[in-house]
Amino acid sequence: MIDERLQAALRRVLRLPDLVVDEATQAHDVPGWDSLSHLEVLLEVQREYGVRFRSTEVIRLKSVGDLQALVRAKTQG
Amino acid sequence: MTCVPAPAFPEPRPVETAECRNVLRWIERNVREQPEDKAVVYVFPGQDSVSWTWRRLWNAALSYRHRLSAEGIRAGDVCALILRHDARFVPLYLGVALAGALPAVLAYPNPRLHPDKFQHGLTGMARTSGLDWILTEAALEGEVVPLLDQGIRGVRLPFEWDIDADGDPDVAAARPALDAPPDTPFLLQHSSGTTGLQKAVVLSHGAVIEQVRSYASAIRLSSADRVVSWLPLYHDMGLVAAYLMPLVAGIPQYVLSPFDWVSAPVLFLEAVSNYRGTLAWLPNFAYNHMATKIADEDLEGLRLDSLRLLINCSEPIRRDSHELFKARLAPYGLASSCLAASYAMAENTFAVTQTAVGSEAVSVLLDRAALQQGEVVRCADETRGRWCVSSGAAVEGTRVRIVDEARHDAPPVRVGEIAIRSTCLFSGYRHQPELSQRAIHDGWFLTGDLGFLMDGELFVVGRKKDLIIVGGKNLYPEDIEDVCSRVTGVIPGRVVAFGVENEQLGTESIHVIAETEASEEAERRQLVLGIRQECLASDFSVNDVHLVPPRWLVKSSAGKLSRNTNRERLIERDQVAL
Repeated sequence: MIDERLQAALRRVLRLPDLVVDEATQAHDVPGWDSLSHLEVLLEVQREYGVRFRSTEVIRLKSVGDLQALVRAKTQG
Repeated sequence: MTCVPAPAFPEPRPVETAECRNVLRWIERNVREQPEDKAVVYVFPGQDSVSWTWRRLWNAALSYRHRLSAEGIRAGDVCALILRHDARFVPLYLGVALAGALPAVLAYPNPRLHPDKFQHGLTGMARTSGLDWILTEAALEGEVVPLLDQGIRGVRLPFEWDIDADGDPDVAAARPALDAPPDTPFLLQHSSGTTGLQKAVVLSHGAVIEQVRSYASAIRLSSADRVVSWLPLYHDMGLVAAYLMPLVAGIPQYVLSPFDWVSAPVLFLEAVSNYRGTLAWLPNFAYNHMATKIADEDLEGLRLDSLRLLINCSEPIRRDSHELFKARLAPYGLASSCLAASYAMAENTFAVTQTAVGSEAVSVLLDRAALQQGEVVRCADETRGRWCVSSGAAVEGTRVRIVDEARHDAPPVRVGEIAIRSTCLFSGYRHQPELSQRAIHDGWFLTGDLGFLMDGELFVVGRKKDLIIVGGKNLYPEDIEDVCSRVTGVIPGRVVAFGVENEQLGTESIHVIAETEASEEAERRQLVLGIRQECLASDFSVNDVHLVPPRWLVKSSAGKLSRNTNRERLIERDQVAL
């Protein structure tokens, strides 16, 4: 399950008000989520949750499910 | 046949004899002289890096050659390499060359790309460039195999092969490639045209060696240098400057994945800091990307003082980007003197010009109105001026001229088309004699880029094709786009401007396509008005503004917003004749 809070952050930063993502969604499935906007997405998510991702964590993200898991690990840790 | 001994680095190694103008012979010499030194290090963040010593790299390359020959690949065949970032790429590329075949690196398809479009692009390229073999990965095999009856002779999956980097290599069978004379084709490269079809450039051993020799001298390459790169290898900057030159010159290179870098740009700076990198090439957008997208905490402890040259190349050089980068990274030891620039293209193997080592690339503020008339007039007022950054002086063996429409020398310090002639110039676009004939005139290659020479340095100000001529006045779309980008409501940097022939007036009209989030009709009307007013204030009379949603504009393979493609998209969308 993807938290509503994460969904909202992605909708906001990608400027796609109707976006709905699930665990399997990948950046290339979403219009405009390209390699350069990817950093904007990550910065927005970090701001939203008040967490910081390391570069080694960032480069392993393959799907929204991975991103959700990383956020959970950071907020629960 | 032996190479004449050359003085030890740091003097650039001279190419003493014609026989030594063979890329593989130079690499073989490095293998012989420093077998256990590191040649290439693939940096995988959070994991162990993968290093190739010269000896193991060479053995693996010879092992690939053996297998490629067994698979039927022959001298003169073109092998397209469509592979993801992988440390095995380096010996494979050399293995293709050792088989006497021509390696051609193609971009691995983005997952967004529809398979039909990928296949269509590849068959088009196979037809125009003449691709004989596709060397790819199992994941792509299904998409490539159906193309076999369309000119492609075979698909092979080299990363599935067992390759021995420690065995006893079969050097004798590679001898013909090592003994190939300088005019033997070495590689095939697609020139990165922003507009139109990509054109295939064949470069000989001699051209590559001449380029490395003159460019190494221009940047004062020494055995103490260490190259750091995240650049893709289907582009001349990544392939020739960051990959082949270190291999020929015998210096180590530290390689990052372009995808890792773009999502974690600090990785490049970390690699510079960790490996004490001295040299790197970057496209202009990378300066902004690293200056604005890295958190302070990630920069802590980095030391960038080993960098002696950071060379801005391959897209228009913006002074603002250099300023931003310097301000952000000077506290970590970045010397402003390392901010260099180069003007380069696949047709000249790579570099045409290079700024002087030891000082920052010079910028001049020029009167924008005069520049529109092709005149170069200094200006003190930033509101009326445009900053132009020098690309430096011609490298040895290359001559640069500025020519007018009639292909005569333009008067001194006037804007004209940049024409080049050199010892490392390509000999024409493969299978496209008409295109080659148009581009090469009396031995001079007409680049299609516009620029001027001042105090022996080249300043590139735009592209001939994108020039908008309104009432005899030359306008650079970049200038109009910059103005539009500053209008509130327009997404900065997401604007293209172009000229449209206006038959009624007998001149061109200016059209702008701008991305905006504005959706309300009243808001949009106000924005169109705002853009036109702002442009008028800079003496640009914009006839039509087309507003489009975010990310509507598409980029070319070189990463630049393509004016022609977007213009065509607009025509298609609105069913209008422009």
